[in-house]
Amino acid sequence: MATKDIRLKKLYDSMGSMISNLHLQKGKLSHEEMYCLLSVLDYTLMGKSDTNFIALLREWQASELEPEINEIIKATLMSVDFKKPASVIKNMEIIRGLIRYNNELKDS
Amino acid sequence: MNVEEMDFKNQLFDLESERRVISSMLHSEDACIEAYNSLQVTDFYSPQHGTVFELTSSLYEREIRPTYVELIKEAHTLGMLTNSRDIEDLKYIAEHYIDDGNIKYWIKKVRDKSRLRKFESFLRKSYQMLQEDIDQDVEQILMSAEEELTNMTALEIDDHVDTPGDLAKLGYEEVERRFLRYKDIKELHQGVIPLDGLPTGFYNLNKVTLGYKPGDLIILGAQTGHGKTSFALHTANAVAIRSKKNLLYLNTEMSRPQIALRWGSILSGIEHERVRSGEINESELSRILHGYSQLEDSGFYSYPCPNLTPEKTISIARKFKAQKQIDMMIIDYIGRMDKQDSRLQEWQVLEQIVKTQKMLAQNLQIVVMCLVQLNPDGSLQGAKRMKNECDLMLKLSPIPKEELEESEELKKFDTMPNYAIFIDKNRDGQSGIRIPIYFDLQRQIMKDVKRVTI
Repeated sequence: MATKDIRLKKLYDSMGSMISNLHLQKGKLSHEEMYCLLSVLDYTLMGKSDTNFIALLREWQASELEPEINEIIKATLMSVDFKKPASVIKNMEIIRGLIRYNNELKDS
Repeated sequence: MNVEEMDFKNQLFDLESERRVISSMLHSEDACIEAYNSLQVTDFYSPQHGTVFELTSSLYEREIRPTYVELIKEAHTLGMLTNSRDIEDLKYIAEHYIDDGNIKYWIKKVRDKSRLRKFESFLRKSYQMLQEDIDQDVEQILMSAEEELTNMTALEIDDHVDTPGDLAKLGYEEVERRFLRYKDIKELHQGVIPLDGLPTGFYNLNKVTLGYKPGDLIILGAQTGHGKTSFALHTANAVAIRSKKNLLYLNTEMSRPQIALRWGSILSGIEHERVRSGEINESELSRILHGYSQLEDSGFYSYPCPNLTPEKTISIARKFKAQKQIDMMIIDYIGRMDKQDSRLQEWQVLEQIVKTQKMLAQNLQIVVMCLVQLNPDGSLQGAKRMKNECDLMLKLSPIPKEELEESEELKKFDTMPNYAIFIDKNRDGQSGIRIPIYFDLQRQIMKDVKRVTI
């Protein structure tokens, strides 16, 4: 088996365990937050997503957002049904719009 | 337990192989199909492994790709993950990565240990029996031991040997069923024969075959451009759309849009060329829309697969049987399947494919229809071997022009037939029969023709 393949599988499994532990052991994630992060992990690492989704998550993390907008984006992400491509596309658009809106606020 | 006994006990299970099988199921869909079809919960020594296997299989049956993440979610939902130790255990199993191509090797190791445990339990039981009752009938003891041992060695789980009593009972039930059906035909169905299997889409073919039955392998041969795909879709129409049975259609040549467009024409009755070019009016558009709504409610599953191999058909069929409970699979067509061994002759490859498909039909108890290409002279390469394997061999061909012009017989039908289905072999009934039909090439529709004069 290719080393890269194993590394990817290891990364995926370790991330999955870490997310679950943050809920079970440390109580740092709510049940819903854990589910959402596990779904994001599956979506991004199991070959289901396009690069746009990952780029958007990076953009979100890199942006200096108003706390309220940040919360709305988080809530939007948690409402995504990752099994339905239409839901992913629709909510990606909303998140993109919110980041744009935040940037406009900062510029004005 | 002494050291020797401990050592012996340790030979009866292989926890590492169990973990590797489960890990592979979580990381590869193909491995998951293979393990799902080859193993049972009881094959796992560790109860924890058995539970994880059961959860993984249950996700797979519900069409959820059983990834590590999905497994965590499922276990969490069921209240089976309560602390970080549980997560660590799961992670430990998941991290036993293998090259997914080796899954059969690891499955065999798990199965072998499982069989060994059954053997050990048999020996223990027999020894205990001897200790408890020494005065038993020796002949009886040995006979029953032999039977149990034979079941463990010679027979697979699915094998079944009929005793004379079993066979007599089965025979009586079959005759009784047919007797009652015959009565039904007379009283309820007013002479119309109810089918034993899936509808063929043709009245006369239904009459001769009583439908396509589970475990049947059907071969349909036609020359290039003589309606193989149309026949396949006509069958799919009868089975999946009109009878709402689940059917898997594997196509090696056509793209998804091509298959979808064909249905538009078939279900609306509008010429295929016009559907393809979009040269239709609004009322025709609404007819096509109605047609597609029928397709939407049907059991037709399409899998365009240009690089199909016999092995791939097995794994796809197993998957659809487990997840969609398909009753039939159509392969359009086997001449386009990839060769696994380039040294084999064309007829040898076809023979191999046909044999595999027959086994698949029997094991999964589904109908498998294979479409094959006839030579320009109407013959079939490797025909004799194919004929041996299949239950029903049909040949589809246009009726020659001269015959159409000269034959008085053909003029006795409500619609002048232009094609014929020839029943070359029929394991359950008459063969050597030619069934005339009408094939509307422009609409891609096949129809029965009714004899109106004698």
